[in-house]
Amino acid sequence: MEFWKLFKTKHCTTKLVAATKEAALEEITDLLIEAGALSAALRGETLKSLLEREKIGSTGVGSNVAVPHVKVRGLDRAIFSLAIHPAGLAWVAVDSQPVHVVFTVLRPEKSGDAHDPERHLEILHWIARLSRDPDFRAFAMRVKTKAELVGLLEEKSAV
Amino acid sequence: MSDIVLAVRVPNPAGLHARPCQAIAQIAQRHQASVRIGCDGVEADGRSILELMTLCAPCEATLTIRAHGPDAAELVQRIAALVADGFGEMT
Repeated sequence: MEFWKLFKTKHCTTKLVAATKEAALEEITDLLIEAGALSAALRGETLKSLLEREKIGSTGVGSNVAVPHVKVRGLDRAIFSLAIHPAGLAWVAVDSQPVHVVFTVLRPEKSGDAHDPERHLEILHWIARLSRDPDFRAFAMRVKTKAELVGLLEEKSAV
Repeated sequence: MSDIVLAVRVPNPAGLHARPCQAIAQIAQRHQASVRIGCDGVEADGRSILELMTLCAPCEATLTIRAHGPDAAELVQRIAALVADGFGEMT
């Protein structure tokens, strides 16, 4: 599967500027709304899900990566975003390191034609495999444009 | 000291996604024993969320929990109970 295609260029950014992880999640949510991927009507529900998820436990999975991954009531299909915070952000990550790479996954509450749990696991597997790749992380932190970022995903998918 | 090994089925529909991986890793990190989780011929360090996510274990998959160390038995039991409970996602 070419999972990199799920990360539309306009859903990604190399320029997160938020000063806290809560603000970063808001910045990513607003990016998805501006890109037309997420309905503005779901902004509140999306932020609530993302922030509640962080309260359960930080999504900072280590190696400078966070994977906020939540169900959003009212969403009819999964949305994927990759965002880079060049300066790094405190995320209470498992290894206490700052987070530079944020894979955000919003998914519908229920399984259906637009959401298959097994395929979803495969996507998470792909994200985890990429995240463990030091080359991917190093290049992702250095790219200047979102097109280069998605190009990196494509390139790493071919390996 | 021998390994403590237990197999347990994944009952929750979403399988071993990110949050369950985090829950396993949190338990593992609170114990001295090392633990590896296996599924379908692949093994991961139980303390690493990213490694656990690579297991890609769906609902009904069987996880093999293998721990080694002074509190290995307790660690295996705690992880097994978490999995058997569907990571709290069954209600």
